[in-house]
Amino acid sequence: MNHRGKVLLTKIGLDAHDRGSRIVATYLRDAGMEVIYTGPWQQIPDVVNLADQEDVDVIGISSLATDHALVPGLIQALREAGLGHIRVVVGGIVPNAEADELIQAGVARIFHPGASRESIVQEVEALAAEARTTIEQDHQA
Amino acid sequence: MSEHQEQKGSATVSQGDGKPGDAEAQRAWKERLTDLLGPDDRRTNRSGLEVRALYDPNDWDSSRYLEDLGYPGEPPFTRGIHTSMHRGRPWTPRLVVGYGIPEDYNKRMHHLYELGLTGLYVSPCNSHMRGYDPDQVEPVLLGTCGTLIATKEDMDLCLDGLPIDRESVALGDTAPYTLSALMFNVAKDRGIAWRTLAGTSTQSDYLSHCAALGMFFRIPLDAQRRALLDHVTWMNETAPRWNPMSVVGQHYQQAGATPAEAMGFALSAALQHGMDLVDRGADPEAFLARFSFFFDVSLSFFEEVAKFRAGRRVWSRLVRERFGVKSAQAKRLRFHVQTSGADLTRQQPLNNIARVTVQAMAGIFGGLQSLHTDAYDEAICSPTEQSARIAVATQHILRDEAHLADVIDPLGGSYYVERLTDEMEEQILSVIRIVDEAGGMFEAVRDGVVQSMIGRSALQHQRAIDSGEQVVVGLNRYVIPESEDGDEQVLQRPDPERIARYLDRLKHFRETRQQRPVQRALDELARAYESTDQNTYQAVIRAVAAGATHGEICGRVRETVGFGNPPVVV
Amino acid sequence: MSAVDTGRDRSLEALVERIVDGHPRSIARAITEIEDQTARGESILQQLPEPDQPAAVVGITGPPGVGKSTLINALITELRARELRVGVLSVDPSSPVSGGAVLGDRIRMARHASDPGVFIRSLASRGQIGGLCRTIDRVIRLVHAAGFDLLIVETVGTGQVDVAITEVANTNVALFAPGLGDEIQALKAGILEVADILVVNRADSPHTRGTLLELESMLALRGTEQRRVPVLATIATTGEGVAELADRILDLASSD
Ligand SMILES: Nc1nc2c(ncn2[C@@H]2O[C@H](COP(=O)(O)OP(=O)(O)OP(=O)(O)O)[C@@H](O)[C@H]2O)c(=O)[nH]1
Ligand SMILES: [Mg+2]
Repeated sequence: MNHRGKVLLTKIGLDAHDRGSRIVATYLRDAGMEVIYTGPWQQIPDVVNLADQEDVDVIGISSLATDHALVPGLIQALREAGLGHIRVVVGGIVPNAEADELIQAGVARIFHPGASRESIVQEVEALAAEARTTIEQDHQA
Repeated sequence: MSEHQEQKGSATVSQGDGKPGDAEAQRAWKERLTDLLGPDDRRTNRSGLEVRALYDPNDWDSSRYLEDLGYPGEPPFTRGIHTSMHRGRPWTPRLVVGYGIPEDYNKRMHHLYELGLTGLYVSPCNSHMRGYDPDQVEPVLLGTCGTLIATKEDMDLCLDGLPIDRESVALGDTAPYTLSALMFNVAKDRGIAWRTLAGTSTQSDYLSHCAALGMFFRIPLDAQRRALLDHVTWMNETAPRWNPMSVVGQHYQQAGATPAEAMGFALSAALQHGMDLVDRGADPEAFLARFSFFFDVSLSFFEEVAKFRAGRRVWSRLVRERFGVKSAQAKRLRFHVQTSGADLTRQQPLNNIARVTVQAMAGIFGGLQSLHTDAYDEAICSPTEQSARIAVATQHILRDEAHLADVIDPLGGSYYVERLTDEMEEQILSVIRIVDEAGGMFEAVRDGVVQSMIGRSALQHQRAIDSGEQVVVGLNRYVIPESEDGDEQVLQRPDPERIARYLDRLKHFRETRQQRPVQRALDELARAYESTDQNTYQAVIRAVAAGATHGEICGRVRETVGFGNPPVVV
Repeated sequence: MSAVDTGRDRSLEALVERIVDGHPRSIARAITEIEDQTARGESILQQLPEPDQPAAVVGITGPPGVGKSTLINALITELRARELRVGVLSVDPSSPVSGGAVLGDRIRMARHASDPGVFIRSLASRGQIGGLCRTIDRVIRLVHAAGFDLLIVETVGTGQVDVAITEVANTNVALFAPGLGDEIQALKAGILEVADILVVNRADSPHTRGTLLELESMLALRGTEQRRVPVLATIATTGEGVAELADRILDLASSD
């Protein structure tokens, strides 16, 4: 793998505050990753197709309101499309109780407000590598 | 401890008043200071201005008192826009309340009202902000960030038993301004004359939405401009006590602009709106008197105080230069303030009470007219009843127990605050110059100039937090394990059954109303947007009266003028 | 990716078959291999069948923010209405420091995300100057083999260095914003010489006419023996002028 991971940063649902996702996009780029940035209000089926065509390793969903409630549906849709290897992370405001639910639904990691730059970059990079390995194994199989 | 003594000792040195010999004393003190702090002790505030250890008479030319400060109620209003300021006109505590279905909102509002809140504030659900009716979006997203409102019936329930004829109402309303149209129709049904209604369309400034908050972006920028001008024109003619133009600086700062940038952008936006109204033949003496502003206040205490003082001064001079207005009324920067949610932490949320208190003090010393104090859990979820109560109590404590309303502009005359006010003024003016060079605020926003400046500042602030240079208690310093945080965070999700009941009611509303008038009114609305001379807001008022819902109105407008497509700047 | 065993060969064959069938995931994976310059990527390219006809590649270039992606979005709509299958490759620069990139062109084309007749891929330039990435010609070959009738390549360029696009595209569209007097003068030696179609986008601006005239007079200065280069006006956000642009593009594509 030449690059250090390909990440789709997007927002689903109704909210459009993008301060966080813009900063994270810069962090990931400065760490050598390639980031597809879509802006808010994406529909789940579109996100799935986009992730497919762009062959991304990680999808980052930014949620500052209650939009994270849609993430389990996204993960489900990814799996149904055969894109289960893509790691999904959520960044933003997620209350503790609902964070557990998201993890159970398959979210790889939740970055709460205040998550450090290092942790975001390192973990996203590691998750991208994981996703790549899964694909390589598919090739072998 | 010796350092402490040293600093105490230095206070006597700075008490000179510009007499010869002070220079010598100052130099000697500076040397002693450098010995203590080292030559590299450099600090800056959020706007990038250097903050020195001490300010003295050399920093402030008090002989310019009348020109630069003047007396409260007199231009340039540095010390406040009213003669008696908070002593005679205490600020209005106002809470953004938006939660659940209309009945939930109404109950919460009555409760806060009993606690001494005065102004009313209706903040609709994100679905509304996006231009949809609640039955057009995923139910799980409903009612947590604001109240469900689609119909006149909903608005009536929201305002049930609340004195909209006496109290001023703030509405989080944006193009095509259905929220106020709903309220005005409710008022009409209650027999309240429109010309007596007082309030503010707090989110009417499409420029700040587009630049800093894609959230409200429903239709293209030029259509938003048209809708705003129609809204302002109609309100000025029909409801002279209403403030249809609320210029929002808060969005920029929440999105990451520095305090100076946020003030500069807001004033530039106000200039743009004013120029647009002049192009329509409106009289600036009249419409400027009804302009109101909405700002964020961060924890950078002195900087914020200076931001407000400088902002008032800059505005009063700008409108004189650019619109040639003469009356004091037209030159006043009247503003509502919300304490900054971006400074609050999810970690140890009760600490936020302290943060909000300091922010509120900065706003009060800055001379605000009304104040929203964030609830301590507002960074995590919509406030609970208890946290909202604390937020209101904070304001009462500051006003009645701490007596912050007694003295007008109590920080005025402080060498530091005056110097900082001058420096902030410079910074604000340089932001306004950048926007002017980009062709004014409309073009600067359309072309993403403002967005990229905000992005840069947001990143810079975040880097300061990441590096620990900017301390955030509980986040990058004094961190404790989350289990000891002491406050269980729960997102109050409205009862799904209540939501379902609401959706049934909406369906019933749609099915039982007279359909023909609705269609006709929506056709009229489309024609108004296609025309160049009809007032589109008048058509919205009529569509609501005919029974059209918010989503139907927005949908029709969108069909006519297309979707908004804001530049996305990373 | 060293020794080639038969098992892998079979998987490779299957992959190539799916690519030729136009299966998006397989195309997407193969592009990643080509971008990463892996041996597998090379093998895929080698196994692709010879195309029946050369690829019709349209290069869209212009300064940052002029409306390239928005125009491509409108073009896709137009070409889809004519029942053509469209592949889009949008190239954005990689950071020379970190090697990372933010790829934002797709934002403008969100409407086509779920149309099976459209394949959109963002590519980072990865150290290549001239507005393209090193592997672009190979990616084009691949997407062409997947049966897309028309390939559109978006590249940022200001006029001088972006001539690179002409090496991979057979129809070159250069975009201008209205009101660029001086900048147009500077273009003489650049893209103007190689562009097949000039477009003034953002024609909702009052400066459009002036810029159109300026471009036309510059073309006239080149003398009559030169090929004819149409100058069009578009409003990408509303789709105005896009049908004509599509006509011209298809004319050129079929005459090549
Ligand atoms: N008024 C107007 N705005 C346009 C037009 N075309 C594009 N825009 C706007 O211009 C902005 C930039 O458009 P993009 O399509 O992203 O431009 P681009 O050339 O692809 O930009 P980069 O890829 O960043 O170089 C968007 O906000 C568009 O909505 C047009 O014809 N008229
Ligand atoms: Mg683009």
